[in-house]
Order: sequence, then structure tokens, then C-alpha cells
Amino acid sequence: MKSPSILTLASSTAIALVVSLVGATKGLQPPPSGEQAALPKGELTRLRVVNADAENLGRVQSGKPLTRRITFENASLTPVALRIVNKSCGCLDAAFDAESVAPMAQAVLTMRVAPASVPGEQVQTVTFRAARNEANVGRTELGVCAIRYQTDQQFVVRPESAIVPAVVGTVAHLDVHVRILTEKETKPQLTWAACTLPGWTAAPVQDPALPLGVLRVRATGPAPEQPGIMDGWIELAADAEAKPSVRVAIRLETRARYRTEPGGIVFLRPERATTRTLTLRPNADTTLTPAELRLIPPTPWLEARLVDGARVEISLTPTTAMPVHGVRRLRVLSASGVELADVPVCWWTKPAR
Amino acid sequence: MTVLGMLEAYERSVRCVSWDQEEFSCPSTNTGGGTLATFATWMLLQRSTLYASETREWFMRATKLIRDPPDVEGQPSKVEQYEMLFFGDGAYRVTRSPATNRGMLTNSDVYSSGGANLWRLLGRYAEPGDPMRAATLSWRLGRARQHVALEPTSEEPWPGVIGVGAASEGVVDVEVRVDPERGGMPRVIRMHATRPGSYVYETLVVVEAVQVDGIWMPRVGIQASMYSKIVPNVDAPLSPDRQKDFELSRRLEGLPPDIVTPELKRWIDRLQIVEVLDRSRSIVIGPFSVFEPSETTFSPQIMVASNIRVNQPMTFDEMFRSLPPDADMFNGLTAERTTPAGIRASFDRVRAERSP
Repeated sequence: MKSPSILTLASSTAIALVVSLVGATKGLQPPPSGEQAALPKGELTRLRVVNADAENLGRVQSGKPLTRRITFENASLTPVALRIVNKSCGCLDAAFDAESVAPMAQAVLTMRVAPASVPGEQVQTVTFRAARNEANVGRTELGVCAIRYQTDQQFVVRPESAIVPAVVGTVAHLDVHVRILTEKETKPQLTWAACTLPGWTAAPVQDPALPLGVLRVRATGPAPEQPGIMDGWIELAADAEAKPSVRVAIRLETRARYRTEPGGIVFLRPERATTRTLTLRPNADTTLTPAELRLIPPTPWLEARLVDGARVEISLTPTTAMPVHGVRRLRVLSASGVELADVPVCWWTKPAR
Repeated sequence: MTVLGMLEAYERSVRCVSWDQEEFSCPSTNTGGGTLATFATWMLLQRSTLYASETREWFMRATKLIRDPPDVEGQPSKVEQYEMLFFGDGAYRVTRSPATNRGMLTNSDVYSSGGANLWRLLGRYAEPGDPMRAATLSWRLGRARQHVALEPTSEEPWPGVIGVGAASEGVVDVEVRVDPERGGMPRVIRMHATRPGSYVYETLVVVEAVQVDGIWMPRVGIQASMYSKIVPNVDAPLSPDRQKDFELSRRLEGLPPDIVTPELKRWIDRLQIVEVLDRSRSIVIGPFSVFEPSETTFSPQIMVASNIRVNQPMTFDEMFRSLPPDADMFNGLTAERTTPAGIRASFDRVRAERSP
């Protein structure tokens, strides 16, 4: 711990007092003339640092929270209001232990950061405003406090996470590149790879075009038989027994074999028989073609008809039994009964109020 | 549930959209909100050309207007233009800064998913902070623990549903109202989140819609976001600064005249007075700023869209054409400096490996 003089604050503790920026622009009241004479140039509130944890925390473990505390003393003759106005990162939390500090009293700024796994030196800053009175108006100045660190990250992974589109019945892939940050003349020693998505595998790819220090891993596997979203991980480790050194989140978004245009039907205020048409288009190459339609559940006032194997005509004939609104599913099937598309069919009449 | 069916029918009809948009930020006369600029009218924040698709391809070229405080009080704020270019897919992102003519190939990110954005007004990327950017609202709602039906009201004359615990590991409730007259297009989306010590809340509203190739699209929309600590004594009155900002917001000055309608004013009033003030009196500020009820908010923001095209996919050829051939590029996959052609080759290789 050190107690630097006011004049050394900026360099020794990274407190950059951006003096009078706000006060000057607002043209607010100057301090009493006697006090003004006593202030060094660039000092308005005489908020000085009397204690500060080290600004540069060096190499740290990613994800493990870091804290830096800075103690200020109000060296002026009037109370100073303190307020945080900006932070450089959502990973940073910062707070003063008091909103106002009396003459010769102290206030502590606590900065807490959860370091993300990012290569290189990281600098996070908090900007605060110090004002000469409780209303937080009048002559003010801005201070910036920093916290520096470098995570213990060994690898750069691209991408760190990925959303992969897929179509039912196809095989999808994702390639991950891993760069070693330490011994750049060698490839990362990550010989074990796996993917947690069902049926997926992952393995290093032999690619002589890659520079030294870069490893390429391919994860591949089938899209599920049902459209939907599935989350998993690609994991890389030194060997099968070791804890994974690299984890990449992967989200597989699987669409049906066929889509319809439009994507569904909304019959609006159906007072008489109405027919709408959907066009069927494959989302990927497939030998399966539409052959059968099924309304789930069967609904007396709805009828669907396949036309030329490429269009669907849906007719709604209102009945007294039909509710004012509702939704059904239209399943499009192949001759072998494989589901190709699942389409919402709705009707809507504004309920009486 | 019929509302979910209509929403799904609409979402499935919109496979991709390209559009231009302008974003306007609300008046802000208190300098404490994370920037030193102050302005007394709605101000143009950003102009963008955007593209987004259900298969995660996206493009964004934007000019952000950054306002610094004037050197002398009473003078206009200094305005700097900051241009940026991003495009990519669900795994990778290509960037370029026109100012330096430098760019890179790196991770995909959420650049296209923030703020008042047509794609978000449709319920895509609805959950702020979700690194996987929720695919669709109907998918989100399908994960809910419970569904609560919402009847149309005089203020919000559209049927809706609240999905309890629909997002963020079950701690976020998602509310949507859809417009049956417009094919099930979302009109109002609200994200409610409660977690210890904080309260996140976002509202997206389509104020005006246009029909494009038979599909309704937002033309004017509002995004309002708040992020705050829960503090006691939440019935504290509005600070004079906030009252002044709300009053200035209501005047709708600085916005394009053709979007200034009674409906827009009604929604600005509602978002600022009813929702910000009454619903979460403890608040308030946008996601990047400060933590006191007296502080200035930079929310809501208004989006005005134009040149909307629906279901006309943008190709990567078109995206890469926005990179000048002499741009200095960094390949984040291999840590090599290269050209846009080199980036294209690398990008095509990884794309080809995982295309269905």
C-alpha cells in the first residue's frame, strides 16, 4: 500500500482525473476564491488517493473474480458527491461505499471483474463523477480507474461457439481452429476430441496448409430426425483421461426436409368457405417427395388436398361447432410415411368482448 | 394455443429479410448516462444496411454518429461518424473498419442483434445477452414452463401469451402479442427477468407495419430497455432531469415527420411513463450505463426501416463485395495477415465443411 501525493496519482494508480471537463462545459459556479487559490492547477475537488491495490494484476485465472479497491480522501473543504457513470465492460462491477464524502473523510471504490478467456492484456475501466455538492450539480470532474490483467489462456479457439444450420436427414459439420499461444512452433498437443451431440464425432484434421501452432478439428454428425434445436459441446484434451482444455458450444438448428410458402396459414374471420394454397419446397436435396397429408387432430371444418405433389390446398368451411379461434397441425408425409413438413393452420375471429 | 400457431405461421414465412434502417435515440439532458453528450431532441444514432436469415447468415454495414460534448456550453454537440462493417454466419464473422481499412475473420458475435432492429422486432434474437441468439420467439415460448393467455385490450388490441420461464434457464418470462390482421406478426414483445438484486426488462413494439410481397414487416418500431438494481423505496419521485427528458421525448422533435403519429406518441408515453415509471420504479437505465433512478436513460429508441426485401437471400458474394480488395485482413483462424481474397478462401472452406 502506498500513499502518493496528489501530483503523482495519475501515473501511479491510473487515476486520470479528467478535470473540469463537465464543469467547464456547463459553465457552473467557481469555488470560493480563497480555496481556488489553494488548489493546484487541475484540482477542483481535491479528491486524492490514499490507498490503492495494484492496478495490474498480471496473469490471472479466467473466470476467477478479481477485485481492486481504491481509497479516496476528500482533501477539500466541502463535501464531494461520488457517482459511477460508466464501465467499460458488462463483466465489471464497481461501487463506492458512500455516495458522499465529507471533508477529510474517505470513500472506497471497489472494482470487481470476472475475466473472460480472452488473449492479451485486458484493461477494464470505471468512470466516476465527483461533484462538489450533494445535489451532484455544480463543479464536477471525472475520474477513471483501471484494472489490468492477462488471463492464463493457452489457446485461441475459433469459433468459440457456433450455431450450425442443418436439415433432417443430412449430415452436418463444424470445423474448429485452435491456436497455441505459448509455444508457437508446435501444434497444440490436443490429441483427444469429442462432440457431445448424439451420434457426432470430432477428430483433428490433417491439413498441411495450416501454419505451425494451429490445429484444425472437425466435428461431424447427423441432423436429428425431428426439426428442432439441440445444444452440445466440442471438447478437446491432451488425452482421453485429461480434463478438456478447449470447449466449444455448438447449437444444431435442424429444419424439416420441406418448407412451405407461406410458412403456415391464418384464416382471418372465416365466415364462409375459404381455400388457401401452400407451396412445398425441399430444404435440401432429397429423394423423398410429398405423398400424403394428415391434419392433427382431424377437424371437420378443415380439409387439405395435395396438388401435383408440390402444393397443398387447405379449405376451411365454417360450422356451428367451430370455435372462434384455434390451431391444427398439417403433417406432410412421404409415401413411406416419413414426415417432410409440419405446418400450423390457424383460424381467428376476434372474440366478442 | 392459437396465438403460438399464428406466431409460428408468421415466423416460418419469413426466412430472411434485408433492409435499411435509422435508429433514433431519445432526448437526454443529463450528462450522467455513460456519455457526455446531451441533446434535447430525438437524435439520429445510427444508419444501417442489414440482412438476417433463419439460417444465421447476416450482414450489417452501419454508420454510427457519436456525439461529444461541445467545447463551449450552448454550442451543438460535436458529431463524429464511425463506420463499421460486419457479416458472417452462426459461427464466423468478417469485419472491416473503413477508417483503417483493416478487418478480420473471427468468431461470430451479436453485433446484428442489439437495440432497435427490425429482426428483433420480429422476435428473433429476442433475449438480450443470449450468446446463441434465440432462433425464434415461438421456439422460446415453446420452452416455457407455463403459458398464460392474454386477451386483447384497448391499449394493446392484439391477443397474446406469456411464456413463464421461457428463456435464460427459466428465469425470464417472455410475453408476445401477435396481430392476426397481419398474418401473426408480433406487435409487442416483452422480456421480464428477475434475478437476485436486479431486474431486466425490455419491450419491443411495432408501431407501423408495411406489406412486402404479401408479408407484413415493421416499418416503425420502438425498443425500450432497462437494466437496474432493485432498490428499496422505489416510490421516489422522478428526478427533475428525468421529468425533463420525458417531456422532451413526448414532443417527438427530431424524428422524420412521416413517422410522427398519434400512435407513436401514445407508445412513447406508455413506454416511458407507464412501463418505466410504474412497472419498475426501482430502475433505470440502459444496459451499459449507470444504476440510479435519477440517471438519464437512453431508452427508448426508435427504428425506421426502408427498402425492405423479404425472402430474397443475400449471397456471400454480395457480402464479400463490400470488402475492398486492398483491405488489410487478419485471419483469426490461422493468425495470418492476408487479403480479402484470402479471407474468402478460408471462409468458404469452413462454410463448405458444414453446409447441409
